[in-house]
Amino acid sequence: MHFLLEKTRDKVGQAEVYHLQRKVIPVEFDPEGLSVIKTKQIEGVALRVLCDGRLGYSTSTDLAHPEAIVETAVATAAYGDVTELKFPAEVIDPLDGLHHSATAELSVEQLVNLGDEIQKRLLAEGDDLEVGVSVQTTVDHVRIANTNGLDAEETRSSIQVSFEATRATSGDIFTVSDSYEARSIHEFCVDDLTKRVRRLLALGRDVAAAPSGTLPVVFTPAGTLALLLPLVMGLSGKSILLGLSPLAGKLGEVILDPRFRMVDDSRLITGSAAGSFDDEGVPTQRTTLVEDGQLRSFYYDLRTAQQAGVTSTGNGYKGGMMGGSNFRSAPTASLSNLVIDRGDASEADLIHGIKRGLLVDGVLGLGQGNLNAGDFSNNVAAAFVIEDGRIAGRVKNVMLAGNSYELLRDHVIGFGDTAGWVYGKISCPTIAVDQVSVTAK
Amino acid sequence: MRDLNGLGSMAQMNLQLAYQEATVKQTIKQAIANSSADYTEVRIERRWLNRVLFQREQLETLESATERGGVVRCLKNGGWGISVFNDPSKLAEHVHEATTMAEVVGAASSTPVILAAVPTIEDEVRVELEHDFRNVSLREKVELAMAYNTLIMGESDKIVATQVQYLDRFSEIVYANSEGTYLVQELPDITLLLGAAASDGKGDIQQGMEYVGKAGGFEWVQGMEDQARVAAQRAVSMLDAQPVSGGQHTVVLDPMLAGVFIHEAFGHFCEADFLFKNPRLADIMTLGNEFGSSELQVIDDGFIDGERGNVPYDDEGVKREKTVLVKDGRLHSLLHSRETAAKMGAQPTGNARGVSYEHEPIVRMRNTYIDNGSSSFEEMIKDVEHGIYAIAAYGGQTEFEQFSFSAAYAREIVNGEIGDLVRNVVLSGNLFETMSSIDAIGNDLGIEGGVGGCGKGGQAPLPVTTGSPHIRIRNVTIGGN
Repeated sequence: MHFLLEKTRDKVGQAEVYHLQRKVIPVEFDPEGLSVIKTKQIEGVALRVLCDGRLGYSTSTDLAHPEAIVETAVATAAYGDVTELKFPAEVIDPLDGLHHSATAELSVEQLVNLGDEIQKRLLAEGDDLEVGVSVQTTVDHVRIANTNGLDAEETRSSIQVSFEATRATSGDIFTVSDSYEARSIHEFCVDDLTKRVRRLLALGRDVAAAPSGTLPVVFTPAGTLALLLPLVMGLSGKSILLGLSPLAGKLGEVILDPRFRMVDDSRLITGSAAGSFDDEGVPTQRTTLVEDGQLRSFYYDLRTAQQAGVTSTGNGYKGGMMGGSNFRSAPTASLSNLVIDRGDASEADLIHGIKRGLLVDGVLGLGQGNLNAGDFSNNVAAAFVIEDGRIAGRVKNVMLAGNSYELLRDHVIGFGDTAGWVYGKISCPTIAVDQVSVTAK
Repeated sequence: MRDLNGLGSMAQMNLQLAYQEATVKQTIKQAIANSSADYTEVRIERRWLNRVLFQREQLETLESATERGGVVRCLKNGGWGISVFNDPSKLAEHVHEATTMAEVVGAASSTPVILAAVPTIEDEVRVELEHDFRNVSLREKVELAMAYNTLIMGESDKIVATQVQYLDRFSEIVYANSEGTYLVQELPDITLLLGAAASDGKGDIQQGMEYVGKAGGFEWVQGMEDQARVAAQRAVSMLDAQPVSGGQHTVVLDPMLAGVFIHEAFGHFCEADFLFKNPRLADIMTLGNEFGSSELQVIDDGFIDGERGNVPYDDEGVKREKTVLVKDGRLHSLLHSRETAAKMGAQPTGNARGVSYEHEPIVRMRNTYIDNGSSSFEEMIKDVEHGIYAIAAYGGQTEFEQFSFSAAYAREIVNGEIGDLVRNVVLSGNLFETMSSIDAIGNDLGIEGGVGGCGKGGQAPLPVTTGSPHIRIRNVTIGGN
């Protein structure tokens, strides 16, 4: 690590080393039972350099040959982008609770027992179910050092549980799947998981005719991704710089329903993206993006912030728009944990108030449609028809289409009073909106 | 400033020299010989990658990467254990670790894994590239991407953003198992994305995209100036396109979109490991069942010269073959690993692939396409009173028999003629109904490499190709306002 910095010091203006050591133990169950246990130990470095104001970048897993890593990074800098990027020197304000050794060090036997229990409990929800389960612990040790004096390191660990319960009957197939992520195994509750599966399986037992038209739709937390994805893209400082976001120049304006509040919070340890610093060593913070429907801030990594003449919001992450830390990709502006405020309506109330509409718990084809403009267009994965305030059955082959900005500004019926985690990094309530285009076959 | 031209590749070559091939072979053979597992396999990969990405006037990314890592997979008492690592010098420890995991699984398992028998092979597959991208300097790669980027930016003042990405990757994979198979394979991969975004200045933003992806040399990404202009022009002309009206339409898919359709919606069902998890689908996917007209042929081929999906030997050491999935409209074969083949009493088809050393092999596609039929494109559209000509794909997803795809762009078909551009064309439906509604298959097969790859079970992006001639489908649901 320091050797890499030493090697570069006389060749470059600035250098930054990102070092990741990751240990993952996935334990997987197929419908027939325990199917495989893996252990993965991955270690890699990324070296970012500035030579004569030009940016260079190389990554490697071959730590035995640091001079080759330096040489490659310096070679890329010969043609690299000209930038006034400055790596941070700030001392980090450490965040507690990112590593629970009791959870991180769960034995293979304990993971097998947990997976086995979940599979048995889910199977008890119906004798016509096929259930697959995966339980895994991840321990990441991250260290970032740069030639401006920063040397920060942190261990972050978590346990992830995911499952898929499928009920197949003649002519129909219905899958309920979900994933949970927690810092500590004590935060994980098998009862919550089975309760959710039970409810969805009950709601989805009968297939109903799907409605068509412009209708109200209740999106559960898992279903809201269709609505939120355009917004996640539009709020990126990078999209603003590139001229791809319709939110450019609208800071301070009311862009969404006045009840809407959205915060990017990398210091929320229950979120999977939590850390004391981002992947560029910038201290993390809570950034209010939208409050009272008003656009308050975009999110930035170092480079985008420098170009936009603002400071980084600590959102420089490796692994693209939706994150997923690895050592390979260069950091870009990405959200950490996204938190959307709860409202005051229960999901039951929201459903009760709808004469004819849909409850959507998941969509297919995320990312389809002209997201820059806010348009989404998705087939439903799990959706239910609402008739006279009641769920009247599950629907299939239904397309949803709409514009997120318009729906979340002008057509919000209400926000649910409980929040759920989606992908371990988006905490959000049920959101009911009107005027969604619904096309059924 | 000192000319550092080509130093990147030199640094990569140094690493190559530092790596002693003979030692590797000995280490692997030794570790396998000492394994106490019933079956042991080792795959060690070295990978070199260069990426250039321009976004608007900015060189967003210029990176060069080297990776080395391995995966050990062991079978003990019918259970799998896997160990993934970067440093192959401790191979024996990883074999031991995988064996320990396998013992736990084997002890718990009621259905022991059996592997279908395959011939033992020793072989080396080296590639020769016409214009080997490893001998091309970083400077030349940057300049090429920059030239395309400049072309796109200059095509119209409505162009607000670009995404021009050059990516080359060269992998060398050593595979060995306890049955005596020992293979060394080289896999090249080169892709170029030419993306443009145009704005009307009033908040509407539309995209245009062209690309090429090959298991080939640098020559494939040169001379793409026309495609760069086309991408820019399309982004601009999409600004004037009207949104498609939602409902049921007769749709003609171009070879690119039809190829993505057959891969996403049908190909994944042919992956035998998927069927074990879904008994009802296993029923539907019974060999001999009818899926389309007698004109429908679907192939998954392990080798088409220069294509990205090529797998001379899969990651279980099984030799490539041309697998016929659908013959004359009926299901003819599935795609197998050694495990699924043994379970179903079939032959392994060479489809066990791991996306990298971080992953064990699972059943994946290679070069998957609908074979030529008899209709010309003109015949296909001439009696369509009102329909949609959907071209290229932006993305797609399937969940069981439900699928959803977006066309990159589309045109109306009115009274047998190709008409105006329309936007927001997202097709969805039930796979089996849709496949049986294909009522015309063209004679103009095109195979497309794309720039990304296929994702499954957390393994992405795996290089594959998709292909098809033009096809016509009746009654496709298209979402819209």
